[in-house]
Amino acid sequence: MKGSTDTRYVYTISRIRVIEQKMLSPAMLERMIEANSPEEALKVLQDAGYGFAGEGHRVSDYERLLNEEQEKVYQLLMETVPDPREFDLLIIKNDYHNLKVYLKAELSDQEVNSSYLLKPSLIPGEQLADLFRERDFAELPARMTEAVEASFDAFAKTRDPQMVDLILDTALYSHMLELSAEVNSEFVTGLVNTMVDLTNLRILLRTKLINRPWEFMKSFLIAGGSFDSEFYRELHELEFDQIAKAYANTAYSQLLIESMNSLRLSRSLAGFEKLCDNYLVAMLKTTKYSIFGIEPLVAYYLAKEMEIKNVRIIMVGKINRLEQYAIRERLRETYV
Amino acid sequence: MELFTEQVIATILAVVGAAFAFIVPGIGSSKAVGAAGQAGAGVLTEDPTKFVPVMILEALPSTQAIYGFVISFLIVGNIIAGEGLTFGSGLVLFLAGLPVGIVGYVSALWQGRVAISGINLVAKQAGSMIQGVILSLMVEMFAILSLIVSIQIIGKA
Repeated sequence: MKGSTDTRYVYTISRIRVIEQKMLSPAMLERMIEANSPEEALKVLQDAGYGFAGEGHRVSDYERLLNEEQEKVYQLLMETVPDPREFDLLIIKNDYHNLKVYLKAELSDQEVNSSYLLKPSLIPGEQLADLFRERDFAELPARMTEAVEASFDAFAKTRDPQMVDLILDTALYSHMLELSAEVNSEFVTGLVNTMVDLTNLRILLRTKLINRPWEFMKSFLIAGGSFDSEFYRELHELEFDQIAKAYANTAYSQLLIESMNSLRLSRSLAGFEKLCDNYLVAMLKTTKYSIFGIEPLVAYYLAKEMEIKNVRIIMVGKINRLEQYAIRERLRETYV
Repeated sequence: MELFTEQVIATILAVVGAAFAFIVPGIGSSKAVGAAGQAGAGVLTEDPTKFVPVMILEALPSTQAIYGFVISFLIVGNIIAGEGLTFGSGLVLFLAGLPVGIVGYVSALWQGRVAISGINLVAKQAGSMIQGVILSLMVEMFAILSLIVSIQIIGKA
């Protein structure tokens, strides 16, 4: 991949190089796993400087601590970069999540519990409340407006809340592809493309696992990415065991070979999803020594997201008294 | 009276050479030190104790502009000292500005990159300043060689 020579980000990159040192190492995650209680595990996080300073946290609200940590990373980017809009593509998944929360509440006549809303997001949760009260979505980005209106229509026809998920998920990835094209970086477009490919691959594997027809799978597939829908249609006709072979000449061949092993054992996608995350982390690691360009910033944000995912796996495991090996099995590769 | 006598043309050539010898590496050094300074500020925001290594690394790409300054000074010195330049001397003085100008520019930009890498290295490991400086000085060597070549050419004027 061609290295970027865009010097606008050097300040933020060096700051990140210092902060990166405080990311949770595999040894620290191990300490959390071996902790005797969730409190002790949480202590590791507090020692690592998680969350905003000066607040004590209880195990019951560790989730808030994790949200704060992600917001902290986003704030750093927003304060220091020349064009904050380039980072929209990192957070719009939170917007689509929030839209789902509001849509589902609206369609089932319930109040929105604000603790379900995710931050950071392009459109603050409070503003969404106003939009839904007035049923006027023109202020949202065009893609979101379309998706929300399509969801209302589809629900009116089918009364199936899953349609909301389907429409918004597809819209999210199209929106991300659109935004990534505006960021002038091969790395970022490649990354979003990979996310789309892996999501489509997951859809394919799930469809095969539950033996559904092509029409079913087609409605979930995301347009864009490295392969067209014809490619997936042909794969759908193959036997489950032959799918890995069909990917042999692509970047995902190793990933699929490894996934097939875990799929054969358990028929669950958990192992595959972990391998997908590891694949993305490996991509993020390619920017570790970059000194220019937007790449290290995007990589750091997403690496932090992955770290928080790991922490969540451990905390949930600790609170539910899971065995240590079961927690370890679920952990993703770390960036540091 | 003819406006462009041999002397006038020779002097113009020499002055252009002197200007080139300073302007081009000056631009390179400004860009490089500027970018390295931003990178340095990033590190210092998080860790002010690293001021000394950051400052040293930031300053390294400024030498190319200094070499350019020396050469343009020497060229201008030749103009004033002579009793009117011949066309040949003017041309030689013009050419003398090229090595330090071109090589200095390129070496400043690349040394800037190595300096930023060095600053990021210091960001991660406080004790690695020397390694960063040495890596950066490798690029310095080409600027020094171009300085010598430019001086030798001036000697032929």
